[in-house]
Amino acid sequence: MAKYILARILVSIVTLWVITTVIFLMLRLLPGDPARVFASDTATPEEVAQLRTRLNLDKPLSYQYMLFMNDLMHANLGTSFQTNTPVLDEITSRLPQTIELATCGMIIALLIGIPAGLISAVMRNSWLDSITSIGTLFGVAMPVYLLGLILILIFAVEFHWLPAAGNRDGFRSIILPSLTIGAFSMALIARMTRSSALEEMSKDYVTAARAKGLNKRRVILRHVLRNALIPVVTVIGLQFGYLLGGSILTETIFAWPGLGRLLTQSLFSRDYPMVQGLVIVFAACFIAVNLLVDILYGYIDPRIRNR
Amino acid sequence: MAILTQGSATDKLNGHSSMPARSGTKMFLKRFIGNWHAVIGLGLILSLVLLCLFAPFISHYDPVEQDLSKALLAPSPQHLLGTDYLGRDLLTRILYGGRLTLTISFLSVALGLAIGLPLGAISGYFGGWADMLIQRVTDILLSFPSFLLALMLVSMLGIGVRNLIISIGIMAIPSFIRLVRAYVLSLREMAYVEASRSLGSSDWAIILKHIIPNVWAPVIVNASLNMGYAISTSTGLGFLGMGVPFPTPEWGMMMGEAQDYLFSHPFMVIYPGIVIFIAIIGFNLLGDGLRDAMDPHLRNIRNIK
Repeated sequence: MAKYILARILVSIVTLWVITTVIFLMLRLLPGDPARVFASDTATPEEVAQLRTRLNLDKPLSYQYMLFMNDLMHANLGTSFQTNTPVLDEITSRLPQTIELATCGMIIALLIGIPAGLISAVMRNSWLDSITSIGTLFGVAMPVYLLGLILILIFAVEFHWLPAAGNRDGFRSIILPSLTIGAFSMALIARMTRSSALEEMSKDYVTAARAKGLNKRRVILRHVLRNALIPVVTVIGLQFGYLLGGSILTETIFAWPGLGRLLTQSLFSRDYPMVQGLVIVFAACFIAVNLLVDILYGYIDPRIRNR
Repeated sequence: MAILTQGSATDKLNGHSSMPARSGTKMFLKRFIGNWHAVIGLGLILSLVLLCLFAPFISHYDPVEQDLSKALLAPSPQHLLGTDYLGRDLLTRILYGGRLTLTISFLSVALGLAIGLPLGAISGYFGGWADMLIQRVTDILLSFPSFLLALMLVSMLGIGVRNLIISIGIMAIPSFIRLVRAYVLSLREMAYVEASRSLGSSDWAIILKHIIPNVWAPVIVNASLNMGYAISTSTGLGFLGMGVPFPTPEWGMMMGEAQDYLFSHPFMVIYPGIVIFIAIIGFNLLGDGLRDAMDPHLRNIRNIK
């Protein structure tokens, strides 16, 4: 197991290195002059030239890359154009809000998705099953921003039950954003749980357990659920990446002060160091979650780690 | 991204190899029509496409012309869905906007397919360093949250139709590569491929003549499921103002623009939202239905973006 974990960590580090390099190249090699892109529309040629010097864009690419990597090693992501504070400080002050939102979204998705999937598998072709499958169909097709706006209209505008934006109302203010961000994953987890539970239920060990005289509830909860959750774990890992992406839209709609909103704001204010830093942090989070899932997967399914 | 079990690919091939082509098509049509998912999905998409296509005959208003004296009108026989904050007919903008949204999504999926299919085939057929390289690049593409990647690319390349297609298309590539590669891995071991090779066919001839025709079914299913995702991404970018330039009508941008009027005129947001939802659900249903109709074994393909 230790060897497997070590190998996974190594792969993750290499991936992170490649990705930071890709981000570095993407910002510099794409058509268009980054200094021009990130300068304001009214900037004079002198101001653009100044910006180019400030960003070291006038130096050779290899030198820029060394500077970039050196800064990265020292956890220095540069200084924001907008606030003139270190990018890393801004990101670390916003990160908890995004993690809070993504975690709440995932918890809602799991708490509703797994039981819904399991129930509709056990009660196959019942009205509960039909409701679940229509629900998952809608959940998968509903764009994040549409769901967010509809929830605001219903719960904040119509009934005044919950706040429409911000995070100042404690628990009450996170309900709508986390429902919005978690809906897609909830639908997908319910679907996955249903189909993998159905598959497990058709296996011989279930018949054997029933024949042995175990009651149905015990067989479902003890045997079927446990095995059915294996593929669901992988989806959860992938879904966390989706949640990070979804946080960009969700946080913008709900004025949630996290990384996603910071990213859209920085893109519009052309805060180049902030954008670069945020994308690196997003990618790092995604890789870290996938690493955790891989390790967890190794624990659950011993066949994986011996491959 | 699509997941599939390799066993199903082999089952499928074995099951179909002895079947004459005509009865295959007949069976497909029968299963397709009997599948309410597919029929409803196709119906929704066709109605949307026809409505958008015949926009000039349905509405005689100009989708971009502003008339502030008619701003924010309630629905009436003249303006079936009312007007927006610049006095433009909402129905007209939705119809013209659909042309753009659907075209962008279609072309980006086509781009993803055009790059992903050959790369996946090469990766699966030849293996070796080409496979290594293609798989690592796929891994890297997949280790970005895809919406973030599209947003980054658009903001770097600049907004506009062409750049949207490129940015969303790049996101669609990995799912095609993974899918095609997995199929090709099992196809290249088939007896008829072996036979063709022993008769002296070149690798490329085998890929073009024997491999690619056999991966079309799952590729089309994946394309349909990807359409839903492309629509959701392109409208999401439009919503953030990263889509097409003002005042071109585009569904996502229409919602983004109307956001300020959410409290006073919610239907300016709701109407474009509903058509986006219908389009996505249409392609998802069609994809699910096609998958079941083309081959029940393909049920293991899932869109898990």
